[in-house]
Amino acid sequence: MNRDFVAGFLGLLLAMGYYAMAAKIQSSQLADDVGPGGLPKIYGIALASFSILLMVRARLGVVQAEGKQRPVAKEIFSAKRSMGILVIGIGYILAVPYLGYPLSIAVVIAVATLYNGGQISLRLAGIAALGAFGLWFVFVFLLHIGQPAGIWPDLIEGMRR
Amino acid sequence: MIDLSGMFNALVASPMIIPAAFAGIAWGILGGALPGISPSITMALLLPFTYGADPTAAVVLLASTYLGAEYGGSIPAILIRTPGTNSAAATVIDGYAMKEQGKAGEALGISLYSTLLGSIFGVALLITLTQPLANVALAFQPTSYVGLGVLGLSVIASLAGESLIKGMMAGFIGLMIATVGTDPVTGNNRFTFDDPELLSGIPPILVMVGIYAVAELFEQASHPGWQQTNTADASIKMPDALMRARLRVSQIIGAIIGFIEGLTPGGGGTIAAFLSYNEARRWSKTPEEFGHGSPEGIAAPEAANGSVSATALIPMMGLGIPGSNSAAVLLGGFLIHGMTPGPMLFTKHYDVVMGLYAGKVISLFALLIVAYLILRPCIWLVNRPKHYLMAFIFALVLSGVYAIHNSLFHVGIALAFGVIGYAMKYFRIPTLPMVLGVVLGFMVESNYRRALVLSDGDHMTFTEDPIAATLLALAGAFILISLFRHFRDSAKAQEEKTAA
Repeated sequence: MNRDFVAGFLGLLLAMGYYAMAAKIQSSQLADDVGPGGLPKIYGIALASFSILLMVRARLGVVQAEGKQRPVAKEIFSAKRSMGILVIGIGYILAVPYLGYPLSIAVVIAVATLYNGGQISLRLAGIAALGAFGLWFVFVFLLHIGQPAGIWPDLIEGMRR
Repeated sequence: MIDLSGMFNALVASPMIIPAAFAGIAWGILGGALPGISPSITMALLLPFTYGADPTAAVVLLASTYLGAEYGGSIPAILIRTPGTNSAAATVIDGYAMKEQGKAGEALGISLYSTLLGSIFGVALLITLTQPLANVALAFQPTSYVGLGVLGLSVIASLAGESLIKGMMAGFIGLMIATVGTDPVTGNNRFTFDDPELLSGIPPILVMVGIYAVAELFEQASHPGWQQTNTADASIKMPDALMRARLRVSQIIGAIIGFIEGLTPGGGGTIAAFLSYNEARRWSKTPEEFGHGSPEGIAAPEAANGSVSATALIPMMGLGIPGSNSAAVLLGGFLIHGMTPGPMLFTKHYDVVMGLYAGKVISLFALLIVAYLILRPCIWLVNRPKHYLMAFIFALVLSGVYAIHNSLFHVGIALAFGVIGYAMKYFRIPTLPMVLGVVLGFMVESNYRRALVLSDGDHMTFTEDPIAATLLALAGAFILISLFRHFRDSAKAQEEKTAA
């Protein structure tokens, strides 16, 4: 099973799921001839058709004028490394409502640096703190764009009481 | 006719254009100098910052970043044999050879001088050629917009690269993404999963940041750091009169090829740079020097890059069709300020267009000044450990995406599109057709249905409007030519395989 076949298969699954949802879209009395589900259904069918074509072409072993592909082992290694960055991003989304922006983003800088090959050191802590302060300064102080404050305001308020 | 007073008025009305042009050039050079960070990624990183800015200053900032990044890519290409951007790959060949001969300063000077000349040529054409499109704007009807949208989508055929089928798949996925949210005619909710944050659809900016910036950060996680330069004290040495005369032909070749590739969907800087390099060698009096430190080998691709950075905006602004990733990101910059590039841009936002022209002119001066000032910081930045830079860029993406709508849900969407972009790279599916689908999807659907409502469901209405009919015919011709080229290349590859 080559890459194109897998891509075609995934495309087909997406098209089927999308078409099923498009078919369920309720048409209102205001609807025109095409309706809210009209074009989505066509898009679903088109994606399914091209996905099937890709799968058939992959099975027939049709050659394309294409460049070099990386070895599969290298791709798997690359994908695993990428997932780490994704996990750090998801971790940020989960943590920032509680830890607040400055602390969370400092942790992101530190963890992402370590993950990309950096080493635990005072320098790393300093750069993470400085980076977080720099981003906070630009977004919150200069541009007046609010970032999540976390539990700290409530906690400080509670302690004052 | 060039509206100089319009440009001046826009400058007076939005004085922030000047600092925006300088800041864009500086940011572009820094981003372009970092290997792996392409002009489109450098621009995508800026998008969230432009959200609250003056619309004219915002688009000037992005357009200047594009130019800065095209030049910035040549710095590591010359100093560390690693192109900062794909389009600087051709500069590596002779740029690094000159550096090895102890002429790094001269090479950097030729690069800057040629980028500048190419940009001047490109900006002049941008201002001259985009303007006439404004006259067409008033005649556009819903049917014309459908024709324009279909023409834009037919570009997918030429953007598909190695596989037309994969390009079409990417295009339809983009169209599907564009259907998320409230239906443009009936107001029904579609594909929103009852989540109020999806009612207004998926903003194209999130798609762009995801598939360009986040996907590249995922990709970079498995790449080792780049080489460091020992030329920390390099300085730019502009070519003297003798050298300028020698470079003239190669620069003209580069600027013209850059213009053609800028207009061609899917063309872009990389193709222009390599085509220019080959043509400059063919027309050179000393072709044997190419590959061994020929100044013309730097001048031609850099002039092409400079030219592309301006002429790529012509189809994007005039027709609303981005032919390259960077043009797509700039289009995103227009969209987040509620401006839709295309014929009506000149009618509805004439001041912004004039401001952009003025900003492009200012960015030419800014390039000349900032390039000198920023070289040392640039070399310093390239010499920083890659893990710190990548971590900081990731933090910048997370912060910037949140800042757009103060929504962590949107941060999640950008990360999701990062995964999609990464997967598309793995399966060798081009991403630009998907962006095109996202950008054009709403326009095509809303105008298509509006046109049918107005004509009582008669599809012949699209042939009765001469503009729509012409655009649809052009789209058909475009698809046929692309199909022919695709099948010809496939047959050639099959023959080579059989012969092997």
